[in-house]
Amino acid sequence: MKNTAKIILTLLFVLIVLVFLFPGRDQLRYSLSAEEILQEIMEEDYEISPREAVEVVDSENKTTVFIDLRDPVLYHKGHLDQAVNIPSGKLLDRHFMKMLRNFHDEGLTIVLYGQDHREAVGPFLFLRQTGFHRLKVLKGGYDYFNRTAASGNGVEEFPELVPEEPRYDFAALIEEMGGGPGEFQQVVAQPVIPVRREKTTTIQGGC
Amino acid sequence: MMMKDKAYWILTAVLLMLGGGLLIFSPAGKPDEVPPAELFRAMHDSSRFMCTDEVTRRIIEEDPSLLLIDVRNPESYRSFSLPGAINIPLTDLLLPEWGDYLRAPGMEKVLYSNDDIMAGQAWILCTRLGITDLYIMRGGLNLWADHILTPEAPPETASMELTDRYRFRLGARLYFTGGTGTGVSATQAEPIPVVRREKKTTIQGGC
Repeated sequence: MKNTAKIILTLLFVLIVLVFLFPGRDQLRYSLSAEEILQEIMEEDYEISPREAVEVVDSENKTTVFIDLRDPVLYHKGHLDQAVNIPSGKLLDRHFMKMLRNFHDEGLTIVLYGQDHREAVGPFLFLRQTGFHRLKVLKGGYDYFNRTAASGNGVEEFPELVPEEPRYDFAALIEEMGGGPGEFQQVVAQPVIPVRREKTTTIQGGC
Repeated sequence: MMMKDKAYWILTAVLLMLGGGLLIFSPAGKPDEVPPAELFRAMHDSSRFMCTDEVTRRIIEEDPSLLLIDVRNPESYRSFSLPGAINIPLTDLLLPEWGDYLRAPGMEKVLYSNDDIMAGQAWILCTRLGITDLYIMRGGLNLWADHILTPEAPPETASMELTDRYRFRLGARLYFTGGTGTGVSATQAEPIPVVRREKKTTIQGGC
């Protein structure tokens, strides 16, 4: 009886220790609350421009690693120098996650990019919430980087890309479509005016 | 007797440890939060997008289960917003007062911004917090204006589907702008004179 109790207690103890020592080591946890991450994306600058990227690639000391989030086919067609390909759908694959963690633990800044700007924003938000804090997004993605690179030496000259910039003045466009100051409004400006009977006598009216 | 007491003490200690451990090691997230791995899966599900035509159709049909949420800043919202949309600027997204809107049962919430980057960020944060029936208008207002306000005529060899879609977009444009944008209707419209009966006698009126 005494021994059985001892064995059960020992087993229980070992089990608890195991559970707490290895709480699913690969299991992801949120390291920031939703409020914290929102505040961060609203206030902090997490984008690096293509120009900065070029400087980083050219510099001697390796402080940054570029992660190409596109499809391997696109990656093999062309990518940033020294970029590592991790397709965004496979970020959670064990070996990719381990790779990212290693980069992060080495003190490298991880710069994410996709074909365009928006491709990297989701993965950024996800990784930032799950413990990566030295994390940036290459502004405009690979397309924008290429366009700026194509402008050659005139690196200073390339048009500034503003994510989320409206391409139209929506209100003005609608106004214009609806006729605006054109002919359509003239019709509106000339409403049909019913001709009122004029009073001819003073004695009129009903009961 | 002594032995039994001791066993109980040990058991109590173990349970206390278990409870304490749970408090310390439990994930920081709120209980209704979606775990990271699940959030990641949802982020790669293309059904989170609603296309501009679908949103437009439902606006025109005055679909009562559609709730449009404009996540741009208040100035942009005041300048132009989709009919019936409410404004929850991304900065204020997680304020408790918006919870009722975001968690409204039976409503399909569609987030939009100028592009779909901000709406995408809002989507990730809300989805993490366990909000369901949430969509992003793909391409945002920019693509909406491309499709609905300035639709491109399909080539004459286009399929029925493309032609129908183009017709739908032309109709939708009329709905949103109140004009065809061509000025044709304006030149054709002529004021209709209203002919009133002339008075025949001077004494008129009465019951």
